Formats: sequence, C-alpha cells, structure tokens
Amino acid sequence: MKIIPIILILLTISIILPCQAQTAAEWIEKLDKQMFYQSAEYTALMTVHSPGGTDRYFRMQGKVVGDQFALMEYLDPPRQRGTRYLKRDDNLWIYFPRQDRTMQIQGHMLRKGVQGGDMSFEDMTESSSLLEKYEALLIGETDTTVTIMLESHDMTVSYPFREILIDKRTVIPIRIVNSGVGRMPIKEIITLATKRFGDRIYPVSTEIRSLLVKDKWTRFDIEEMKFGVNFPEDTFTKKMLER
Amino acid sequence: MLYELNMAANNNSKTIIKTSKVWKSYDNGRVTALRGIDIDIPLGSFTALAGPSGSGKTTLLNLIGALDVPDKGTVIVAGQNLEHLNDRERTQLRREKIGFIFQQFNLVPVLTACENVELPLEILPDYTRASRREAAMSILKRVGLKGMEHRLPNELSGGQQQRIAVARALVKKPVVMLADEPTANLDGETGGAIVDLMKEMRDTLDTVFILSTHDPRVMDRAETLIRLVDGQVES
Amino acid sequence: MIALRLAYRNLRRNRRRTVLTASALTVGLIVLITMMGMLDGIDSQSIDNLIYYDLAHVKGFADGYLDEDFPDLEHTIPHADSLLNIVRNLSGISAATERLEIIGMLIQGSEEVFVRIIGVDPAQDTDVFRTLEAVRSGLTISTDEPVALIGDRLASDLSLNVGDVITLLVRSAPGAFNPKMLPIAGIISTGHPAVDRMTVYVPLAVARDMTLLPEGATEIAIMASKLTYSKRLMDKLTQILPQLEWRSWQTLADDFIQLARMKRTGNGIIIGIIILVAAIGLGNTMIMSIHERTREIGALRALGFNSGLIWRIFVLEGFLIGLFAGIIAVVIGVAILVYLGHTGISLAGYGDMDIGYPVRDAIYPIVNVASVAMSFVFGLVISVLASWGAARHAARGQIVRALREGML
Repeated sequence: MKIIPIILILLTISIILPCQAQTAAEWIEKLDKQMFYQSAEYTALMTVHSPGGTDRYFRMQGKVVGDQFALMEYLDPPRQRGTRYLKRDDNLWIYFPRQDRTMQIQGHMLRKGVQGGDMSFEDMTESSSLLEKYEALLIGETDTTVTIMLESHDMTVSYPFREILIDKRTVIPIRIVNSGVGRMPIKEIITLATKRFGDRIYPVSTEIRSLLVKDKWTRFDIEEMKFGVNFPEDTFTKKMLER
Repeated sequence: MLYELNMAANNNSKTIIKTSKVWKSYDNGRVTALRGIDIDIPLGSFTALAGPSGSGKTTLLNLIGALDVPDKGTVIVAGQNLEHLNDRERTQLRREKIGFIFQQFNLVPVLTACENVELPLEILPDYTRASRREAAMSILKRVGLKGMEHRLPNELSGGQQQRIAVARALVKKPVVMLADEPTANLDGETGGAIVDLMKEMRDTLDTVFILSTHDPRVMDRAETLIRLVDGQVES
Repeated sequence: MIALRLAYRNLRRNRRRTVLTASALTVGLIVLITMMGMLDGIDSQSIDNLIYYDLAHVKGFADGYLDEDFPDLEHTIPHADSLLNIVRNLSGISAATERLEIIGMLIQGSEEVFVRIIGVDPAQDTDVFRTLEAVRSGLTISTDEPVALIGDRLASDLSLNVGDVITLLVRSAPGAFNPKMLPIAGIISTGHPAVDRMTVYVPLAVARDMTLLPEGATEIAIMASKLTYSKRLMDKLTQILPQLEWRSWQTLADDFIQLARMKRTGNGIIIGIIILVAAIGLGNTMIMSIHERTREIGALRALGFNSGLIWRIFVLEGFLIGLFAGIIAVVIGVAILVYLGHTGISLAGYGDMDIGYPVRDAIYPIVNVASVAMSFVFGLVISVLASWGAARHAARGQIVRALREGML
C-alpha cells in the first residue's frame, strides 16, 4: 500500500471485498493491491492547520498514473499558483513559474514538509511496497476492523513502526499511527470521509495529525475525481512541468 | 651719476652697493617703478633715499636687500652680483649680511623684546643659546631698552618697538642696513631719536645705512641724499 | 628649535582659536577612540564567545561534512573515541573533546522550533568549552543521564523551566525518526546568541542513541596550548589524522571576521568624515593664521628665514594642535572606554534583534593600546596634512608682496 504518498492514498482505489483475509501480510498485500490504480485526475483542497488556529488553504489539481508518475499544480493561493510538482519514479522536481526555474528536490530537502505541513516530499515520492521493508503482525481484530503492526528493522525508513487500523469491509485504512525508533508515536493519518465512485469506495477526506505537536494537522479534501483517464504520452515530462 | 651729495664722512672708502641700469616694473609691466637706476654707495655711508610716494624708494631697497630681482640691470651688494644668486643664496645673503628695519616694525608679536632681537641669530651657525642672549642683551642696552627685554612688543611704545627693530637688524652686525620709512609711524621727536640711534650705531659698527624716507628730519640727518622721482634719480 | 617655539607661542597667543580648532578634532578623535574601543570590545567578546561556546581553537570534521549547509549525519566521524585519544596525546594541545551535532525540532505543547542539538561528553567538554559551566538555573550535564540543557532565550521563547519535559524530534543517521522526551536539567546563558537562542545540549550518549551512531561524533574540538592559532598545529593534525578535515576557528568564523571588518570600515568611513570636517576646520584656521601674519612671514623671510623654515613653523602648528587634541582625546576617550567597559553598553534596546555579532545583552568596550595609539597617530597625521597646504602657501609667497600689501 502507498500509505504516504498522501495524494496517492486519496486517489487510491479500494474494492469492497469480503472479509476473507487471514494473516497480517495478506491484509497488507490486499491493501497494497487495492490502493493501486491505473490513472486518475483530481482536484483537492489541502488545509494546513498550525497551532494557534491559523489555517492556510492550497487548492491543487493532479494527474496520476500508477505509482510511477504524478503531476500536480497549485491553483490557489495566488502566490503559489502555477507551481508544479513532477514525480517520476523516485525523483521529484518543482517548477516555480515566477522565477521560471525548475529544481530537483533531493537529499535533506526531501524530508521537509510540503507547505510547512506534515506531509514531506519524501512521503510524496515513496513508492515501494510496504512489505518490502516492513514485517506485518496482526495485533488486534474485531468484527469490522483489523489492526496490523508494521515493524521495520531497516532504519532508513522514516517510521520503523506503523500501526494500521483497517476497515475489513472496505479495506480502507481508518487510522494509521507512525512511530519512531523507540516506538514513540509521531503522526497519525485518519480517513475522515469516503465516497463511492462507481463500484468502489475511496477516502476523500484524510487528515495527518502530529502526535508530538499539539493542534497541528494537515487535511486533504478531494473535491473532484476521475478514474481511468488516458493522459497524452508527454504528460509527465519536464517539458510539461515547465510549459 | 646724478645724485646730490651731502658729503659722506668716509667718501674715500670702497663701494659696497652698486646698481647699474636697474629697471623694475610691476603688474606685468603696467607700472614701472624703476627706470635705469645707477647708484654707488660706499661702505660706512648713511644714505637717505628721498622722494614722493611711488617714486621707487621701497622697490630699490627691496632690490638691494635681495628681496626681489630687477627686470634689467645689475645689483651688486657686498661684492656679490645678485643676478647670479638663486633663492637659497639670496636668503643666505640676507641672513648674513643684510639687516632690515620696516615702517611697521614687523616684530614677532609672540616673542619678547629680547627674543625678537635674538631671532636673526637663531638661524646663524656658531651661536649658542648663551651667546645669543648675551649679544641681544648688549645691543638692547645700547638702544636704551635695558630692563625691557622681557616685554612683548604690544607692551611697548612705537618708538621702543622701532628700537627693538633696530636692535634686531643690527644684532648680527650686517654689512648693509636697509630701513624702509623707519620713522613714518613715529612722532617727530621719536623719529629723530631713532635716526640718531641708527647713526650712532653706524659709527660703532662697520655698516652702511640706507633709509628710504620723505621725512625732512631724516633727510637732514643723512650724509648722502638720493632723490628719486618717477623711478629715476633726480638730477 | 625656533620653529617649534614660534609655533607653540602662536598657538598660545590665539588660545581661543586654538582650543576651538583642537576641540573639533578632539571630538572626532574621541568618537574614533570610543568606536575603536567598542569594536575591539565587541570583537574580543565575540571571539571569546565563538571560541569558548562554539568553535574551540581547532575542529576536525569528517570528510564532506563541511560541504553541507546543515550539520549532516551522513558525514560523521565513525570511531571518534579512538581518534580523540590520538589527538589528546599530541603536544601543543591542551584539551580535546568530541561533540555530536544534530539539527532537529524541539517540541513543547503546540510549539515546535528548529534547534541544534549538541551531544557533549560531560567528562571532557568543560576542558574545551565553557558551555556546561554557563548554567544559570538548575544543574548542568554531568553524567550520561538523559537530560537536556537549553539556552535561556530559547527557554523564555517557549516558556520552559527547569524540570519541564521537552520532546526532541530528530532523524537518526540512517533516516528513521527518533523522538526523545527529556527533562530540562538546567538553563544556560552564555552570551552567544546562537547558543542561547537555538541550542539544546544533551549527553553525548543520548545524542548517539538518538542518531543510532554508537561511537559517532560530528566533530573533534581542540584547545591549543597557545592561544593563537598556529599553522604548525594544523599541519600536524592534518598529517597525523588526514581522514579528518581540520579547521581553525578563524576559518570557521569567517563570516564573523568579514562582518567585523565590514563594520570597522563602515564606521571608519563615518568617523573619517567627522575627522575630515575637523581637518578642514584646522586647515582653515591655519589659512586664517597665515593671512593674519603675512607681514610677519615677510619680515622673517627678510631676516633670512628660508621657506623651509617658514613651512615648518606652520606645519608644526598643525602638528601641535593635533598633539593637543590627541592627548585630550586619548584621556577622555580612554576614560569613556574604562567607564563603559565597567558598566557595559546595554543591548536591551535591540531586544532579540540580531546585531550580527555573536554577543548579546551588553557590549563591554576595551582599551586596546594599539587602537588608541593608532587613533592618536591618525589625529597627528591628519593635522599635519591639513596644515600642509597652508604652510606651503606661506612658505612660497613673495616676500615683497607680503611686506608691502600684507598678501602672499
């Protein structure tokens, strides 16, 4: 599953499946598989809430193909308008229209939060399967939900511990808690609302909340979404980024 | 040579100052101060240069005193043709052989009477502090200013100041003494006394005195009188 | 020395004018001396702060560490303890320690701020730095016990007190987040704004635990036996431990040194203008003096004073004015510096504003003999130069004109 590329999460398809999964790994595999989609186009509103009550709003439009390509552009606020992000596999570029300059985000820059929010650029580019780096343990189950603990021994992952609460019916992550080396919780990701698109249900409102900083969160609300879009071949190129 | 002789005392001695065909003009030739002056002045003479204002008296004194150079002609002082001297050599000549007395005294106001008199000796070699002081005191005594040596010029009368000027000019025992209107700023009596003093000094020192003046009392006391009119020696 | 006597007497005679002229120069020189003393003080404070709270005399870093804009855990010294032992046994080194610096977030309630988190070895750090001794309240770090020391500015910005628990969020060297909650053991006040405003100190062991670098350090900091930086020591360190990049504090403090030089030049220009005005005044006085004494100058020339001697009289007058102004300025300037050095010049008016120097609270000017002497000599040179032209004019004038018309 692509928990974090948040945008990807939001666009991820999940199919209502009967609760036939058994092991933790199987649940994760199912999540991984169901979050995958061929292509989508969306408009979303990102709300960055800072402690003390100030909210900043960013409206964006994105095009996504699988977990390989994504192109996102800010529509609002005016200061950000036209700023574009291009993801190709693990690479990320930003284009600033005012300076007409393109910059590749790498190294420690990847770890910075987008617009000062809780989602980092790294989160946006991560695209490998969770089971490659994590071991899954089933740590709780009810009639409707299952709780999986993901543990990594690879300390290059941002969060060595991730606890995921999955809705058995929709296979949508209800709540994910990301923790650091010493299992101290750092962030939680909560699905606030879902919506049915044809025969599938998708999360359309997601909140990333800091568990260390009081009253700090970032929310994504999908305003419009279309699946199965055929993009022209050159959509995810630097040429289109800088057009 | 056309000059009036009042009979010099030692007429027979050799010429110490000689000018021949000296011309001098100012303001780029607009004002001609001297027009071919020829004079001979013997050693030991007491000569007055008389004439109205602008007749060239001061100009002639300046040329003899090596303060200025003629446009044409020759000035010989104490055997030296001033034409051949550069600025440094003229300064040296003034320092060693020529004494000046000015109408406005031109004492250094910040120096005492004694220090003013010592001043010419300061720039001569061979004088120590003590010998300077001794020479100055001795000449001050002779000009009658004993006891006033520590006064500043502004604490003295005009006559006393001019006596200091005389003492300052004489202290180095110059060969030539030049006095430009030395009595013009003094009352008649004091002026007469100053001229008498100079004459007395001439008698004891081996010096030529040339005074420019239009004061008849000075002319009366002079042994030689040269009259200048319009830059020429009056015939 | 008739020239000196005449110059001196003339100044004394025109006492009021001399005092007025000298006063302008004196004021300029007092400003210069005071400014130099302030800059000397601020430099010396800055250098002390930089050396004793941040840079030590010499630091060794892992190759590549200095190429990054931020302290970077990709380029750390892996077995710092053993390298430190080698360094410590070298001659010319009075003390050495290792530090591990991490950039992270300090989180407290709804506040989060970027901080430098510096792991210090409590047993050795005090031999090199004064940081651990700068505790104003609470206790310092003396063991590996997981506690933190924070700067007083940071504490007041976040309303933190001794005993409060803060969360430090860092990324370990491999990349995983590793938050730690630590109680504040003490609050330090060093006078180095960057330290007091944005630094958290933790025991080295804690920092190593946070970064997952069990023997790591980002730097080895050295105090040399002799206070001044010696190239020989640097060469020796580079030769014995070539795997590290060695830097003197001067190199590390290059920004500060540039700034200090710039401020000196900037202030110098302003004061230069003040002194120039004073010098113009002095030159004017000289011209006035010469005009008043034209006949006297003519008479002296007639008496056989050569032009050099006349020139010397007037240059000496300027020199004496400069000397007089300089002596007064030195006395007053030094008195001001001593007084201000005692009371300090409060920077409270600047609030938290960065004045660009690594100092805070107050500046303590010092009397640097070289600076005072330089200002004094500067005053003399300016005075001589200011009177030079007038004196030349006096020396070159025509004697006849001077005597007759009172004009040169």
